[in-house]
Amino acid sequence: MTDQQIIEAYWQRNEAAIQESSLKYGKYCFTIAHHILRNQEDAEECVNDTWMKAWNSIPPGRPGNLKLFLARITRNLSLNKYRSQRTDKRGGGELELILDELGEILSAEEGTEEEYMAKVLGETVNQFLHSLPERQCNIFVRRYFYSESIPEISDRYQLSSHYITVILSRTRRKLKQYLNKEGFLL
Amino acid sequence: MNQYTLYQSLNAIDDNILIRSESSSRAGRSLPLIKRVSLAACFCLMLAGIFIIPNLLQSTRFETNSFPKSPLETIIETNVIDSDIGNTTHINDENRLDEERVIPPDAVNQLLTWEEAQAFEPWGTYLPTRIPAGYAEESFRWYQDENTCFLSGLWTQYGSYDEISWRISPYREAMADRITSASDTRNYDLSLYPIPRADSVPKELYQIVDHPIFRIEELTMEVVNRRAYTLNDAGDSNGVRMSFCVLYDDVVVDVTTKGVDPEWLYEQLILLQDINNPS
Repeated sequence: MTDQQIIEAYWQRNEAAIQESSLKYGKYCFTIAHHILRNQEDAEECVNDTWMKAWNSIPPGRPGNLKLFLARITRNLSLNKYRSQRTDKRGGGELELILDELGEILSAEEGTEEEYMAKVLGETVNQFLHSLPERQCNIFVRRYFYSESIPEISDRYQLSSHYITVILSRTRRKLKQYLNKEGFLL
Repeated sequence: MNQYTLYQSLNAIDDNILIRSESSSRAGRSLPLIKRVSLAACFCLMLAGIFIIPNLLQSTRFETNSFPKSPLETIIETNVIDSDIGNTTHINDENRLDEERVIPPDAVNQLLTWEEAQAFEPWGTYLPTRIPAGYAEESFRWYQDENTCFLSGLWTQYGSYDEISWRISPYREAMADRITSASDTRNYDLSLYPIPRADSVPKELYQIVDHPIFRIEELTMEVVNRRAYTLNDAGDSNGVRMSFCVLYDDVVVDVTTKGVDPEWLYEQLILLQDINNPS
């Protein structure tokens, strides 16, 4: 089935939509969830929830890119699961490192309406990413959207781990300056 | 605002950025095969020398049968072995790509040689015909899935981060916003926008300044020069960088280079017009 056919199946409330989504993007979504949670059972659970969330969102939604639509759902669900687990205990895993790295960019201030802030912030980060050289942008996306580890990114682009670490550090610094200028860190 | 908010906000990253990060996977730099073979050969020559020199010193008369393997034989064997290793690596890479879960299972993701890429119908003729000295071929790929398809080539310079990346794809309506006239310099002239460009490029021009598309009829040496810039980034190449697309009828050639002369790039792009539309 093509993506358009799968979306059409969702619209027709045909359960084959879920089966086809799982068949076509199950591994892809699992990888995203597993990168965040580093736990097979939790990742599988998030992937299953992804199909349900998609089922409830289409209709009325009609995603332009089904694969990335599902990726975003999985990523959100995985983050929520991670947060609920983290309230119990501080776990290890890649996301812990990633969040620590992102924490370098921000002030300690909390309490703003998170969802609204995430939306506005997302638009600003997008503009920032458009201004980056392609490779730098790709490395940033692999790390902070797909939550890949440094060795995984290093392997993906055939670059040394040190190089990846340096690029990420510089990009975080630039992002911090950019967000500061846009008034996010005041 | 906390780090969760920032992490969550990344869900808003544009589709085209996410797709680009997937499709450019492994289009990085690795030691070219020819250099790996050369290094292996040198290493074996050294090893062979260790065995041969004592024999040369001890014996005044060489018995061919009792002689250890000649350096040449060793090199030949080494090359065979190394070729095998090279092939294995290549196959392993392909296996890894197949296993790569971010690539849809029905996607075509085929590694090619330079010759195969040049012969690839109908876009192979849009690859550069020659490459500046010092650059070695790195990888050529034919990729196709539901959302994107392209033929790409990557050449890198050993020991530096200089590279030439070439990507050929069909023109799509979504690209229309990035087409610019050469006379509209604010759409592409990088000298107008100091780094960091996030601060200097107006928001409404981000996309087009980032990656403009020029019709080949409008491409001039001056246009290419306006896209060239250098960057002092410790540890990275300080060569000239350029990045833009050229539209040939319904084919888009997307070039990103580091360390090459703008004049060379201009000549190559004009030459492609002559090759593909000789009239």
